Amino acid sequence: MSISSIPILTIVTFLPLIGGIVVAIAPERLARPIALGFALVTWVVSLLLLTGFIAGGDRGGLFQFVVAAPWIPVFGIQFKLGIDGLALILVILTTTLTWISILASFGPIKDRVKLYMLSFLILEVGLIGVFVSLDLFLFYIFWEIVLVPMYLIIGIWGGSNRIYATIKFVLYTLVGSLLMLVAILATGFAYQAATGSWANAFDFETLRAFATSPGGGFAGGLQVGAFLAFFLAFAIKVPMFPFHTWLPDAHVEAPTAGSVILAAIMLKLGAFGFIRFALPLFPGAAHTFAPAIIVLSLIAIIYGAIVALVQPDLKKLVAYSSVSHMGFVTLGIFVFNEQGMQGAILQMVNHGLITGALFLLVGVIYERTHDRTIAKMGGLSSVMPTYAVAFGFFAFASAGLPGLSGFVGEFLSLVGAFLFNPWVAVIATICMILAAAYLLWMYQRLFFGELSDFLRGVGDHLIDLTPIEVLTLAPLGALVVAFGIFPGLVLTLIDGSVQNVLHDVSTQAAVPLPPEAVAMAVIAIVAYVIARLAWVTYADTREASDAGALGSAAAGE
Amino acid sequence: WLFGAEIGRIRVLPRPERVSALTARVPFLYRASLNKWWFDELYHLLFIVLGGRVAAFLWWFDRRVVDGTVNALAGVTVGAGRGIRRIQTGRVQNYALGIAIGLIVMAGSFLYLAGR
Repeated sequence: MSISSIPILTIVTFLPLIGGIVVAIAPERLARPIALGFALVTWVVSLLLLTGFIAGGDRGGLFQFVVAAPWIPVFGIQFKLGIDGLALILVILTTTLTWISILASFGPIKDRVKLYMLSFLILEVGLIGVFVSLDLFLFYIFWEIVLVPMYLIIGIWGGSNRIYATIKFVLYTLVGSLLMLVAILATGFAYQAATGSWANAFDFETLRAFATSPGGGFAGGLQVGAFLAFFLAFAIKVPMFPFHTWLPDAHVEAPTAGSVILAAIMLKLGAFGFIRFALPLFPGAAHTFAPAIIVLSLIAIIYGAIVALVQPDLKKLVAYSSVSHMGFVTLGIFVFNEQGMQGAILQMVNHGLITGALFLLVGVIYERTHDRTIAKMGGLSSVMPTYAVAFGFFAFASAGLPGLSGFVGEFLSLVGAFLFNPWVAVIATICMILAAAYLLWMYQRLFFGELSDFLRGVGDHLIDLTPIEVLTLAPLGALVVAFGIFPGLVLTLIDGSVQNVLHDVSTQAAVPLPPEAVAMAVIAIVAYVIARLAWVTYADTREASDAGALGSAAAGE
Repeated sequence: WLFGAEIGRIRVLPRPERVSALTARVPFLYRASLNKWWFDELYHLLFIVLGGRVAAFLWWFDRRVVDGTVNALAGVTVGAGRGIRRIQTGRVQNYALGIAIGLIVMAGSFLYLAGR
């Protein structure tokens, strides 16, 4: 490790916070350049990390650029940061997308700019902090830091239904995170009970060594409970089916740049949590629940794609496509083989770039027309040709066109799935057809054909991409092509992390679950779904007949 | 099919009356090939109509059942709050009654447990 005397990770994590303070103090008209400046500097520092990183130096579970300081010694809680290949690539993704989002917000955000930029910078602190924390308690704190700025961003600068969307988002993710906190505390206590001392009780490396020690590890019951709690928190964040319903509302109501950061980075927090914490610390439980999680991933892939087909709102369509793409990520993670894990991580990066760009593009048309209804659009390529090219490029990337990075990620995940079970790969591949279906159909409805009446009414507002917009999209496009042709750029970086996780997971066999408990859980879920279906159809028919009798408009649920 | 086209040209083309004779022998096959084996119609039925219904159903399912559960949970929370709120009547007499009942329950359980 070269520049090890400078605490670079502390700098890259807290520089946006300093930027936020400066933004808060400075006059409002300087807020935009100051925020962009700090975001760019943070980005440059993260690239310095890249140059100093020794690829493969993280084999054997070692972290680089480690910064450690005792914090609450009574419980062994430290302020500890460190990165491996996976964290590095995600930190760079975060810093890149933050300056791009801030740049993209220059036009749309017109009032309370200072508060917006402050929120964005603090959001960046939280996001980077999650990726670099090596102490469980610290990880939790950064995880929660992300919530408040996002709540403000969606709630203040969002769309018409923003209050509902943002409160739903906060409460939903908070429920998962609080359960995760309980699990973290339980893990620390269990470690202390097993070893008799609080020292390093929350330190990730120590806990991992304990959890994967041959013949050792946490008790089966604790593993199952803690893994379920971590799973809930991460599954809500990813989002996995059936915990995904906060995503469409949050994305639709968030401002463009908020959606970009939400989709590109925040969803990765969940997947990262699985790889970094849930798998190494509770390998037995991971094996136990892997089949169920694979099924949920498959459902997410297909369900997300099918529902995306019938969306009238452009942003909701992209939101559901996010659910589908993240399904590939969790599928790749839980098949527990090298190709799958590599595919999953590569897919995390791809999805960040591609879906981030797609949300930026949707934002472009929303800025022009203040409408996202697909049915009202048509024939855009005649008035906005550059936009049509950009949108087409990223739509094809999302569909997994070979030569662009989306294909490599999906392909590796599918190979991994096939090695696990060929039928799983078959079902997942069907989704690729569906993805092409909804993306191409959307593209046709938006861009081809006659210029629609609605768009004709908008008139001269339909200017083509501005230079700033091109500047926000170009880096993403360049990276998509680069990773599509040279996926090795990413794969060599993450190789160490992949090997570590796979080794950790292989140290234990599945924790046996009492069959009665499993049966009861399954029956309870099925019974609830049937009851809910029955209740909803009953309420709908009763409502319809009431409305018919009274002749008044039906009140929706 | 080049072969078939050749046969058709040599045998059938000069004599149109042969066409109806041939088609009368294999009515179903003739109609099938005429309609391209109904492939386009099958595609439309399977993917556009049926698929569309599946997709619409899943979206309905997502909105009402999955999301509905989330909103139902919220509704339960709010409803429970409204219910419990009714304890707070603001009248001192009700609060005094509450204290008295609580005292009886606590004293009673203490005596009961101490006696065991």
